[in-house]
Amino acid sequence: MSIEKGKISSQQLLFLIAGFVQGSVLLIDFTVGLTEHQTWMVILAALAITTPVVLSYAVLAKRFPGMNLVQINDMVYGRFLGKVVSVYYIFFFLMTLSFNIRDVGELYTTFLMPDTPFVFLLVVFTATCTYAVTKGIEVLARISHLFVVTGIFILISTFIFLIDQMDFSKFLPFFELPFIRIFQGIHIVSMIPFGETVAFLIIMGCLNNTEHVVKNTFFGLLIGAVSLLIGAARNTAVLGRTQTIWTSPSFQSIRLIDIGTVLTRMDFLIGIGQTILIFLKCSLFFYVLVVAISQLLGLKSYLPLVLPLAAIEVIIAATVYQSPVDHTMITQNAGIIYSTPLVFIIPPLSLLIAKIRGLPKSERGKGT
Amino acid sequence: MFGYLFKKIRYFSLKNKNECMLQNTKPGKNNSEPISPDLEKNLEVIKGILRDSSDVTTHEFNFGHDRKFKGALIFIDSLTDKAEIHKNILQPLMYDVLLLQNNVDMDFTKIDTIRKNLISTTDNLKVTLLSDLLDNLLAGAAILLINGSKEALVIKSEKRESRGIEEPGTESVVRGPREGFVENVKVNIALLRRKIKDTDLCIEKFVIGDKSKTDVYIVYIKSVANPKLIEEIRMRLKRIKIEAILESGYIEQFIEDNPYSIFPTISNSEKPDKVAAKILEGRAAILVDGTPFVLVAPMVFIESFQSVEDYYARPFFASVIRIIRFLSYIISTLGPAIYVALTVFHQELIPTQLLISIAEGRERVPFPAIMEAFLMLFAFDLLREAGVRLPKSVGQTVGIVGAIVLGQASVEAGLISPIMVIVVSSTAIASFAVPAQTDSGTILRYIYLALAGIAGGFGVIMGLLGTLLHLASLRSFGTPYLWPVVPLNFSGLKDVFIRMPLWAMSKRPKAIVWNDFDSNNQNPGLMPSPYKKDNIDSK
Repeated sequence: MSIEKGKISSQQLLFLIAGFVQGSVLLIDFTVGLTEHQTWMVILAALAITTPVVLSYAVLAKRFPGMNLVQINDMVYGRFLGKVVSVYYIFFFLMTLSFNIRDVGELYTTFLMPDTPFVFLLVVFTATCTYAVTKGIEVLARISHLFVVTGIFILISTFIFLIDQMDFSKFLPFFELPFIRIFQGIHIVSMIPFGETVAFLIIMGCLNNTEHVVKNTFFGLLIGAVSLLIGAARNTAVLGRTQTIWTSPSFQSIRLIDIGTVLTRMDFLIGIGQTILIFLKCSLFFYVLVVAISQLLGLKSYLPLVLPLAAIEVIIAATVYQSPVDHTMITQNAGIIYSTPLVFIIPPLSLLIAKIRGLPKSERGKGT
Repeated sequence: MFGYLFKKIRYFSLKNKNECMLQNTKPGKNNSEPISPDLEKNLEVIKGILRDSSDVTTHEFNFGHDRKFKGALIFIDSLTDKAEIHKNILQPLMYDVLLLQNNVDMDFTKIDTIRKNLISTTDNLKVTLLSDLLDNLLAGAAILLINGSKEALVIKSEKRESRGIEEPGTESVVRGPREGFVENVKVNIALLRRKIKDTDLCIEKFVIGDKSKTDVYIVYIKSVANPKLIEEIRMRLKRIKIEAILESGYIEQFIEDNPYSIFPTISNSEKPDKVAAKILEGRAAILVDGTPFVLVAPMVFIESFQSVEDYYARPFFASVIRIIRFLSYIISTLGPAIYVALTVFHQELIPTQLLISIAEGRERVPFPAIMEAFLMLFAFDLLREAGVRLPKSVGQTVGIVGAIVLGQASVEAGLISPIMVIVVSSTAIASFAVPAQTDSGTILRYIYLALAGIAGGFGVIMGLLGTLLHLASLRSFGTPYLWPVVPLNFSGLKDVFIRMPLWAMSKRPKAIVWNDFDSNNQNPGLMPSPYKKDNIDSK
């Protein structure tokens, strides 16, 4: 018995994943301080490492059609252990969502509206996400392509506008940084933009047809990764080593756009793009969170949980960190560690166990 | 649990209300009796029911050979054409009957005999129930009652004043037919029939309203329209329980998909060519007697930006105009909000020269920008409303006084900055470019303005996202409201932001004609091309 009655097609899944990964464009700044001008390399390496893992999610969803992560956990690990694993996932979703909401607040208080109270921004943003979640996954899936197209349009147009300021020698030298920093960077990138797609194990339960799910997941991931790559390459080519000293290299590089003194101050473009993409990501995470919790508690509808959870999210987001620096430090050093098993170990392990035990068995499918 | 109880209580209170309404609107007593053979008794009953209506005329007469048959003609003076009654009913019955050679044997107590031999109008029918008799009488028919017959003859001799077919006031065109619908629904159906001479054109009649008994017609093409759509419209029309339907807006509010949305999900038009085009695409039109506004369902958002003239003009200019319409809708909803967001929150985004002139203009203004914008928008909506309701000559004076005198004076007095006047007046002009979305545009403008005043550009983006989510969740009779943009449909996109040439748009909209969408498709290769020399030679 699944909660959500909405159905999405696998093409819509492609756009959802692409938009979800693009929504982390802002978060790529976590690695820039570590990996400097080699960020593009880190993104490629992380993509290569993560792709098989993310595809294992799709294979898992194909093996258990119409079931979400919580149901799969119950089947694979049994009633008790499955619940424990699900609670671990829910904790991960809860915290990641609040960090993402906090990111929006930090984006605005740092760059665009420094005088506005932080909590107020969080409340307005979370209210909009709440509205999206009450409308259901179908509506989000239907409009996802608009977000992705907007994101790509902004990336490509800013890339073209900045071409005359780019100096590709800023990518040199190639292997300068110590390997341990590169390794940490790869870990961050593979966890944050790519690994968070583990949330789609809940959304894939709504697919009306799981036939092309692996292909579409891959292309969605690829579109997102290429977007990240374009953004990182643009920042490095424009700013070079100096990008580590800015709070947001993307904003700083876009501010340099000056075409005939007509097209200037384009940073509002990146503000709009990042806001709507993070909105998509947060709404999806929020949806995943409420569905996971209501599935765990055996509720008939997730709607009663939406408002209380929204309030909890705002409170966590407002109080969890002291400052943006705190946020960056903890994400770099602690955040990615506790979520690694969820992303890299449990889903492939579930797949393996399901294969060995020959799940799903038809008579067991009814209990959960 | 409390929510559940609360819902139950609300349900019961609503249910009781509904029942009260139904009881009030139940038809009066003794109307379902059959007609008795006794003429005197019938007349007494009818006069009893209509005793307070002074315009009911009863004419009793004797006819036939020897004047041995008794009859009575009842009609409502103000609704019927008396000349026709005299010529086609009374004259044949009372005088022409004498010319019949074998009239001596004829039994004129049988309605059929009279109907077949004497009455010379085509539009007549027999009724046996008193309620049917009264319904027809009140709709303007003349009723012939014969002593000794259990039936009555209804002769439709309605006289109706009708406005001539004029150019509609709401949708005037530069190029295109100038005719518009009128209040008489029969004329409107005729206008549509002249456009679509197809055997599959269906015209279904409904009578809605317990007191008004308004004629409502669904018009569609059987082979094109989705049968599920028609079934849905029928079902929703049958569900309407109301005393009177005075305009098609009543129907719209009872059958629309989402009554809590500010966006209309059923379109309306006064132009037969527009409605015919939509029927040909597979939509259904709902015609209501007594109003020139015809409803068309389903509606998609993009329709608001399309005009019939787009298809009569050549595609290039039509596309330019359509893009201008989209821009004007954006300006009309977002103009004041963006001005407020820029001047209050994001001054760094304004080029320096412009910023200086804005600052100079605002130097003496005592209000914050958001108050200024609210005041000006309120003044504009006030002027518009006053101008619409007043007589035309006075309306112009209001416009001049309001716009020129008041605007000029308030700028000179330093109450309003000149840039704000420019912003609000361009918003006002832009809001008239998309008439179908003026209502929603006005409401959205205030919402976005409030959001911009509270949270600047961030608030506006959140407002836009909320609107997008709402629009994407809307459906009109099963068709997604934002089709073909959401969900994406490439063949539908030919007629959204630009208008492709007619020969490139040979398919019907997929979202509206769900079933067997490619049949009835025109042949490809319609693109006009100059005759090649080979073609001429081969002839």
